[in-house]
Amino acid sequence: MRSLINFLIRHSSLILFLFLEGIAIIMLSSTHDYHNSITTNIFGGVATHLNSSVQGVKSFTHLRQINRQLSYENAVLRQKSEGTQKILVMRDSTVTDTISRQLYSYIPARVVSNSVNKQKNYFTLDRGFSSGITNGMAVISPEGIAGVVVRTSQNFSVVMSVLNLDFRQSVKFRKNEYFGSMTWTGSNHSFIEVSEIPHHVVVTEGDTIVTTGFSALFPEGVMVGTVAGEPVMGGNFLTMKVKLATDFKNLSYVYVIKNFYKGERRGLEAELTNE
Amino acid sequence: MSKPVKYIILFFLLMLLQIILFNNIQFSGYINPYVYVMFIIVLPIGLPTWAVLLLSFFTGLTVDTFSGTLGVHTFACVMAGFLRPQLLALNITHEAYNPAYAPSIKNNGFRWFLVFTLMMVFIHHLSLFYVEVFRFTGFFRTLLRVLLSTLFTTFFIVLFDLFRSHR
Repeated sequence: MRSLINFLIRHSSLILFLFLEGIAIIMLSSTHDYHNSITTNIFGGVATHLNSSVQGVKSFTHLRQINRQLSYENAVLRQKSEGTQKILVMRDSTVTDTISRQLYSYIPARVVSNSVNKQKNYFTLDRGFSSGITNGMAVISPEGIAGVVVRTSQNFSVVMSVLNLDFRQSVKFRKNEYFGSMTWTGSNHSFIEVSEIPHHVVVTEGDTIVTTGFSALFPEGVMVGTVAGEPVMGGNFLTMKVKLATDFKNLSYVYVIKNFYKGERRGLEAELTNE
Repeated sequence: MSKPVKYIILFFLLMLLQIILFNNIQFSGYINPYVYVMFIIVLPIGLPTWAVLLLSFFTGLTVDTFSGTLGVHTFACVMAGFLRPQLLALNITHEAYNPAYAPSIKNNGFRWFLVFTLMMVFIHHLSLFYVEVFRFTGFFRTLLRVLLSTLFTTFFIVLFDLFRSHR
């Protein structure tokens, strides 16, 4: 017994070390994709408020650029809305129209904290489930694709950024509908990689890449970016570098997309896989 | 000022610097300085290992909370705190040993502090970046991130220490 106690005392720092690293590993694995984190709930309020005030200062210094983005977006929307005013909805409101059914609605939100320099980047929005945001909703910026909501609280939500090694989305060429999948390589915040494009597709630099509607997350045709550089052949598929349309370093205002038919579609697709 | 008070002030100062300034610099994906490690580096030499470990744990937990990466910084800090006595033993001669001293340029000289800081920051960043990525694909890219960030963090820590001692 005495030798056991002696052993424990002699190796007390090693035991404490292993114990503390054990706690760290448990925290790591339980929050592998940021969900269910205990301290986000407990200290989340303080952290979000501090980050929010930092972001407030940052967005003030970027006002000029944000104004330009928003006015540009206004111009684009005004062009589109000629004669289609009932289908295009900006606020989170429902349209009663007997001819066209509304598929998506857009909830505007402000980015209160953001990062681009990690390998798994997330950003936080100032709207939560009290504004109708739920997990799995798509998020777009005025310029294009931005991320997917992974966690919501009453007034905030956390979005997995496109700049996250775990982010996957199927995309296609706007010109000919050939599709592949996009991932972030983790090295540069303005480029992503599009792979699994059939090798016979003719790719020219500057081709526009948009989202497909396959996953029921993003609406079809959301801007992703433009091809930058020669495609590389691997197996029977092409892989290419794509410049993102969204400037993640300067992300201030985004729209969260609510898909009214996601539940129905998912349910139907799940039935098939269950058989 | 008494020593514990000084350390508490230093802790808050480093945390604010890290959370408000360095977490927001985002200069490039390759260079992410984590200067808060300085708190673990400059703890008194004579502090028992268990205290260093607990303080490291708490430091990492605080940073994790504010950057939304639960566990990553905690893991790296505890690792750095555990290896600190070994690194000190490597770097300090018996005659120069004084338990009341804290590593600094004033106490140990520029070269000693630079080498010790480099080693500590490297251990911290090595575990931090690999745990963050949690995969070995892109092994060398992660290694490059570790090396570049280590250089920058060390630079800022040495700068901060020069500033501290010249006040």
